[in-house]
Amino acid sequence: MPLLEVDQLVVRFDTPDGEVEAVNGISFSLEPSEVLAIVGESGSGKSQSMLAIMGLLAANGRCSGSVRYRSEEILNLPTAQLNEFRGDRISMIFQDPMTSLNPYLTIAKQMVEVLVLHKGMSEAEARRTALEMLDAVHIPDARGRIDRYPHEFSGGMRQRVMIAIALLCRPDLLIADEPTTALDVTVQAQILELLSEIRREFGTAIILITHDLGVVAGSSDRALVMYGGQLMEYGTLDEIFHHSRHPYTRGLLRSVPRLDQPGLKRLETIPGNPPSLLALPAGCPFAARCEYQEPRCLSERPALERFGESHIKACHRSMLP
Amino acid sequence: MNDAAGGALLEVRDLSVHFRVPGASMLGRTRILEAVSSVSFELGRGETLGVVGESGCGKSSLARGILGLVPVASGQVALDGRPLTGLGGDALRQRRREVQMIFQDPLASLNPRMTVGEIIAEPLRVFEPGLDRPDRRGRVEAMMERVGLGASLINRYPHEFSGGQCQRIGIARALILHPSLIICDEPVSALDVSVQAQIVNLLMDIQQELGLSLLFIAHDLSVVRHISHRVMVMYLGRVVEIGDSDRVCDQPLHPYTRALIDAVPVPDPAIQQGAPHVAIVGDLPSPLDPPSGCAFRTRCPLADARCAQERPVLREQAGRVVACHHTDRPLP
Repeated sequence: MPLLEVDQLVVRFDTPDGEVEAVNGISFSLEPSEVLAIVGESGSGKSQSMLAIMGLLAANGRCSGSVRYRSEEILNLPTAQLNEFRGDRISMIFQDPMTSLNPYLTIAKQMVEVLVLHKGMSEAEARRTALEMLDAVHIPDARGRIDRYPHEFSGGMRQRVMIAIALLCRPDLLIADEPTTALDVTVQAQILELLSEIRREFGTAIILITHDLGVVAGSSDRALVMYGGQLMEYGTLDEIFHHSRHPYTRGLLRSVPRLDQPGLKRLETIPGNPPSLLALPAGCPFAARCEYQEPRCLSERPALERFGESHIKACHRSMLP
Repeated sequence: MNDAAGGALLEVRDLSVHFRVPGASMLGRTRILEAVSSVSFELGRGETLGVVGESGCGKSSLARGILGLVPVASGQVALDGRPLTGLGGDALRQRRREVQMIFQDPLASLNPRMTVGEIIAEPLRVFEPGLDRPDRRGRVEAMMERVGLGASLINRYPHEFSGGQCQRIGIARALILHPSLIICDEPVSALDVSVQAQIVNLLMDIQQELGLSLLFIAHDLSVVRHISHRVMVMYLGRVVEIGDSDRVCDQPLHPYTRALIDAVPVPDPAIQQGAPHVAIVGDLPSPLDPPSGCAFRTRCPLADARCAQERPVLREQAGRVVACHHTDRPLP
């Protein structure tokens, strides 16, 4: 049984400039202890789709479609019911750990609170569990540091603390929204290693939101590529990186400079800029930048097409050269 | 690299940039933060030198020190054989037109109340006041076309443009005075992948076309390798390795360079899956209290007693310059 099934998820925002079509019908499913990377550029809808799942959309946001956690519908649940599994069965970490931690509370307070609330532990018991979790995410000298405030930790250490808090209730699913984007590359490597350790040891499924194709290649089982709020392609890493059937995925992969290749050549580029979510084109959102554009790409949104086991693409072109 | 014109365009000798940091308490003593410590290098005509390192390594302070935007504690900077340091007033202003800068945040570096045309024309108004209106407008329009903006956009305001287009405006403003050197401080790190490639190509094109020298500062080693002839790696304010970019990236000699390279994920699951993630442990030490001897020793797998006592000096080895006592030992 899949852990999470997302079906035709749509997210809209009412703004003074008009309706923003942030997510336009994405679907995927996630197995227990699977790592799924959601890749896309800014404005592709990758973060908003996850916030919708968590019931964390801004006040002007609405969502529709279906999100089932272990076959149970959780989209648009009332807050009280959401809070039963949010932070408990599904938790989320963000790009900037400093803004997600409360600067006025010690780490101990922030961790104990979670366990008292969700698990009904006593303070002493909760503190013991919190220390174990800080050890598990490799905070050196956890005993000496648990009573400190967030600003006394470095960026990498803060992200470890965030991960420890997110894991306190042993969730089945951890949603990580650009968890390493604000970190230096050597620290990023440490955090990615920690995430794969967590999956191994706790069996936690992870949805990793990122714009970095290198991070995707090193840390996930499957990838979902988004553009203009829509699913462009979904598949195993091998399908996405080596047998991509979508012009956007291919273009993205070709336009990244690689450290393992000599430089000073022109990079292949995707011309133009991403579409405005205020005025999405009627057809494929990528059509205006696509080298394989056909007339119907401009008028008709491509349907999802399945190949083999799980490889999915949304493109009118049946074959790419 | 094009050395035919003779000698280096930019020479930096023992440049140090220090900042005064107020003490932790009200009565605490002011401390000195050595952001850049005795950095020396040369940049040839038509050459791109990439500067890489993690946050706090001093790469942006180095750029500001070269331009005289922050006070220089010691050292000299010379452009075209003539000093840039120690100048003041009008002399400094006149020399500055030869060195322009492109910044990380494309929108924040443009005045929101000026049109694109006014932004790009401003350096001309300052440095070539004799130019009449139609001539100025002609130069601006030609430059806009050159950087791929379309001259019809001349009366628009910065907020009407995407991040990539704003960076094109920044590039046009930097180029309008025909500088010989452009310092790029993280010029593509705020841009999306598909737009980043466009800007990298634009910078490479205009460099070749105009014979410009670029000092390209970035934390993304993949981009730096792609655009640079040579690479300089910095750690806690000092240069640890400098050399030909393919050589440095394919066979790094300094353990820190090696760690940086190992930490960069390559977008290819066949290579990346199973590759060791963690190259070095721990965080960057505080630049206010750097380790004795070699600054990298607290995170280095090769560190021994000598590294704590004696700071390694830069010396030539295998076609590049490196500061490490143990380049002869294999890395674990």
